[in-house]
Amino acid sequence: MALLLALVQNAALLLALAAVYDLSTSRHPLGGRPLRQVVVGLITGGVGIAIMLAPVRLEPGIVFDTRSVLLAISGLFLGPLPTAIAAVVTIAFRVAAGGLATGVGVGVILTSSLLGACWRRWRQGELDRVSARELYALGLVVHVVMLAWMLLLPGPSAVRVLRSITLPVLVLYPAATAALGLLLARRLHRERDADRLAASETRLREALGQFERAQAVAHLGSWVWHLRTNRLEWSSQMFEIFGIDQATFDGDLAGVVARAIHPDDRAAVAERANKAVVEAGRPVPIEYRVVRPDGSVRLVRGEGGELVLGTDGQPDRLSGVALDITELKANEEALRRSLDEVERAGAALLSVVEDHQRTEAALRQSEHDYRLLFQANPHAMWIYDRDDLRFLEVNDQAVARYGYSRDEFLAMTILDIRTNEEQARLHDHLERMQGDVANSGVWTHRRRNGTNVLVEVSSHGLTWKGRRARLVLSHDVTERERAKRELEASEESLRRAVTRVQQMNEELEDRVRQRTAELEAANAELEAFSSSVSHDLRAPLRGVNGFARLLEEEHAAQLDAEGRRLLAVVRSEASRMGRLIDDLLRLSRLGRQPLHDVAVDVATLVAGAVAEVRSHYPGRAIEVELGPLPATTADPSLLRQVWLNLIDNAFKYTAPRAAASIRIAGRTNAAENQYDIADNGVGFDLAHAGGLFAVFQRLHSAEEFEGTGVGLALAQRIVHRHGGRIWAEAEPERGATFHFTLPKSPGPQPRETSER
Amino acid sequence: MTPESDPTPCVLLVEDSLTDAELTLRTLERRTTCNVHWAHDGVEALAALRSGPESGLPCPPRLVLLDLKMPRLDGHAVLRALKADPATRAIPVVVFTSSREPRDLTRAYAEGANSYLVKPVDSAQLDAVLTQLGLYWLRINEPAPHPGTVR
Repeated sequence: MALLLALVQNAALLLALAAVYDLSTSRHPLGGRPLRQVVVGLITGGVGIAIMLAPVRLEPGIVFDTRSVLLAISGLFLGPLPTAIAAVVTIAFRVAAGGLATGVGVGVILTSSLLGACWRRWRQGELDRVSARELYALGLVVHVVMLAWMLLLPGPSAVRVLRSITLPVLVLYPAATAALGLLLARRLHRERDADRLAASETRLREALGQFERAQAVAHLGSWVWHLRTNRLEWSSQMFEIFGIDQATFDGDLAGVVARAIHPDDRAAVAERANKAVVEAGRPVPIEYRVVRPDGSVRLVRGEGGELVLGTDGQPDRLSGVALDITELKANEEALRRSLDEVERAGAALLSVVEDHQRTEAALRQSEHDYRLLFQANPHAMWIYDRDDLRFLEVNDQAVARYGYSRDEFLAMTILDIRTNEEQARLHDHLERMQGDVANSGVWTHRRRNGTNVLVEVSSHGLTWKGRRARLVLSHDVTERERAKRELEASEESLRRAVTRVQQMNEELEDRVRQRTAELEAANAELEAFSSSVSHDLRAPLRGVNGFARLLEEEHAAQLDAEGRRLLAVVRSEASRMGRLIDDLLRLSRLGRQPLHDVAVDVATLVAGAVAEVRSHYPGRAIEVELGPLPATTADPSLLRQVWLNLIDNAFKYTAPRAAASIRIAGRTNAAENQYDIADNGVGFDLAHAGGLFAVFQRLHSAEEFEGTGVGLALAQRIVHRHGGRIWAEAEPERGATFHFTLPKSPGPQPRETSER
Repeated sequence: MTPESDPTPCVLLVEDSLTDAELTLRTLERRTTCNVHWAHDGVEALAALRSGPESGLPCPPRLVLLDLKMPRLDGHAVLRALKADPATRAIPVVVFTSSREPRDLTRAYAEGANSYLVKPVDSAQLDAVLTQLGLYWLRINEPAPHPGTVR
C-alpha cells in the first residue's frame, strides 16, 4: 500500500510539474521550430530528472518512478526530437544513478519513448481530441512492456519486483498516463483554438477591409444609431458621402442633421428615422439631399434597417445604410433621355415608314394618272425602243390618227410610218440625237391608208420596262404649216412693201434734206439781202431827209411857201420809205426767228398797245371799248406787233368819223382763243379784198390813208406762225372787223410761203 | 474833271459815210457843246486815239461815236481794240449804225459797247437822238478818271 502511495506521489509530482509547465508556457506553442523543440525536450528531460529524484526505492538499485509515463506522453504529444532529447537526458541521469536495474531502467525509457512516438505516428484523428480511453490503452501497453523488462532482472529480484509492483503499476500508471495525456491534450486543444481564433480574426479583419472597400466602391455608408445615448456611429464611407472630416465628427445626430442635411429634407429625415424605430427593423427607405461643407449637393438614398434590442428588451440601436446615388440619378436621367431619344427616333422612323407608304400610294396614283395622261392624250404618243426602233407602247390617239391598231403598231418599227424620202433623214437624226429632250422638228409621217400627215415631233429619253426608250409626242401641224406658209408668203409681200415704203421714205427724206439745204441757202441770201437793204437803202434816205431838214431850217428865208411845202413832202416821203423798209425787214425776219412762247396776259398787252397807238394820233378822240380777253400762250413781242398793227389800222380808217369807236373783245373754247377788233371806219368791199393780207396790198390810196401796206401781212404771218387763223369782215362805209385765233396747245408752225 | 472845268469836251466820230458824217457833225454842233474829231474809218480812229494831238485830236475823247460798216477796219474791230487796250478801255463807246440786225447788236454789246443806237431816217428823230446823246454822255454821265491819262 505504501508503494502505491509512493507511486501516486511520484505521479502527482509529474502532473504538478506538467501543470506548472503548462501554465508557464501557455503563451508558447509546444510544437514549432527545431530550437523550440530542443528547449521543450530539455525541459521535459528536466521534468524527468525531477521525478527521478523522488523515486520509489524497491530494492537497492531498483527504483520506480513515472518517467515511463512522461516519456510515453512526450512521444505521443511532443514529437520525436523533444522526446529523443528528454530520453537522452533521463538515460544519462539513470546511468549516472547506476545500480542493478540501470539497464532495465534505460530500456524502459527507450521503449516508453518509442511506444509514444510510434503511437503518435500511427494513431488516427486529432491529437487534441484524444480520448482518455486511448491514453489509458497507451499507458497499459507501455507499462506491460515495462513489467516485461523486469523479467530481465536477476531471477529472484525479478520475481520480487513483479510480485510487489505489478498490481500498483497496472492500477496507477495507465491512469497517470491518461491524466498527463489529457492535460497535454487540453493544452493542444487550447493551442488549436487560439490558432483558429487568430485565423478567424484575420479573416474577419480581411472581410471588414473588403466591406470598407466595397462601401467605398458602392458609395455606400453604414451607420448605427445608439438610441440610448442618441449617438451616431458611422462607417468611413459615411464621412466620404457627407464630406465631413472624421476628426470633427462627434456623433451628435441633431448636429449632423443641422450640418449636412438639405434644409428642405430635414423634416422628412427626422420623420423617417422615428418611423424606422417604431417599425422595429422593417426597412424604411428615404431619399434626401446632403449639403457638403464645400456647398456641393449629393443625393442620398438611405434605409433604416435593423433594430437591435438591449438585454432589457428596450430598443438599443438602429443600424442602416446610406447610398450616394447622385451619379446613379444622373445616369438614370441620361438613360431616360436616351430612352426618350430612342423613342423619338422610333416615332420618326415610324413616320418615315408611313410617309413612304403614303408616297407609295401617291406614286401608284400618279402612275395611274400618268398612264391615263398617256392613253387619253389628245396628241398621238408612243414609246419606241431606242435600240431596235420597235414600238413599245402607243396611245389611243396614235391609233386613231395613223389608222394602225395597237397590235399592228407593236409589230412595227418607227421606220414603218415614214415616207421613203424621210428614211435617210430619220437615220441621220437618230444617230445625232443626244440628251434627254429633243424637239426634232416637222416630219412627214405615213398613215396606214397611204396618206401623209405633217407632224411636229418632240421626244424624251426614258427607261421603259428596263429598255432604253424614247417617248414621242406627235402633233399634227398640216393645217398650221399651210397657214404658216401662207403667212410667210403674205409676210414676204408685206416685207417687200415695207422695203419699198422705206425706200420711198429715204428718197423723200433726201429730197427734204435737199430742199432744206436750198431753203437755208435762200434764207442766208435773204438775210444778207435784208441786211444790205437795211443799211444801204436807209443811208441815202437819211441823207435826203436830213439835208431837206437842214435846208428847211438854215435856208428857210430863201424859200417861198411852195418851196417849203415841197421840202416837207420830200422829208415825209423819205420818212415813209424808212418805215416801209423797217416793216419789210421785220416781215422777212419773222420767218427766221424762233418763237418764244410764254403765258401772256392779253388784256394787259392790248391796253398797252392801245395806249401806244393812241399816242401816235394826238388830238383824235376815239372811243375804245375793251371786252374780256382770255389769256393765251404766245411770243409776247410778236403778239404785241399783231395788236399794234390791227389797232393802228382801226385808228387809221376811222379818221373820217366824227365819233370813232373801236370794240375789242375775245372768247374762248376748248381748242382756241378768238380775238376780235371791230371799228366803225370806212370799211372796204370784201369782193376786192382777196389780197387783203398780201404785202403792199392797199385798198385805199396812200394819199387817203397813210400806210406801208405791210402791216396786215405782218399780222397774218405772226398769227400763222402761232398756228392760228386771221380773217376780216367788212362793208364799204360800214366799218370793218378783224378776227384772229390762237390755239390753246400751240400746233405746228407752218412756214407759209403764199405771200412771199 | 467835271463838265464845268472842261466846257468843250472832245468826241471822236468814226464814220465812213460823208452824208451821215456831215449830218451827225452838224447836228452835234447845233445841239451840243463839244469838239468833234472825225475819223473816216477804223484805222484812222485807232491812230487818232494812240497818237493824240498830232493826228488832230485836241484832247482825250469823252465819247466815241462808232459806225459798224466801214472799209479797212470795221466798227467791231475798233471796238475790240479799244476795249482790249487799258489806256482806252474806260472811254464810253456808242455804236451809231444803220444796222437793225440783231446779230450786230448782240455782237457789239459782247465786244464791250456802252450803248447801241440805230440811226433814224427821220431827221427830226435824228435831231432828238443826238441831243439826248450829248446831254447824257457829255453832261450827265460822270466819266471814268482813266481817260485823263491818255496822251
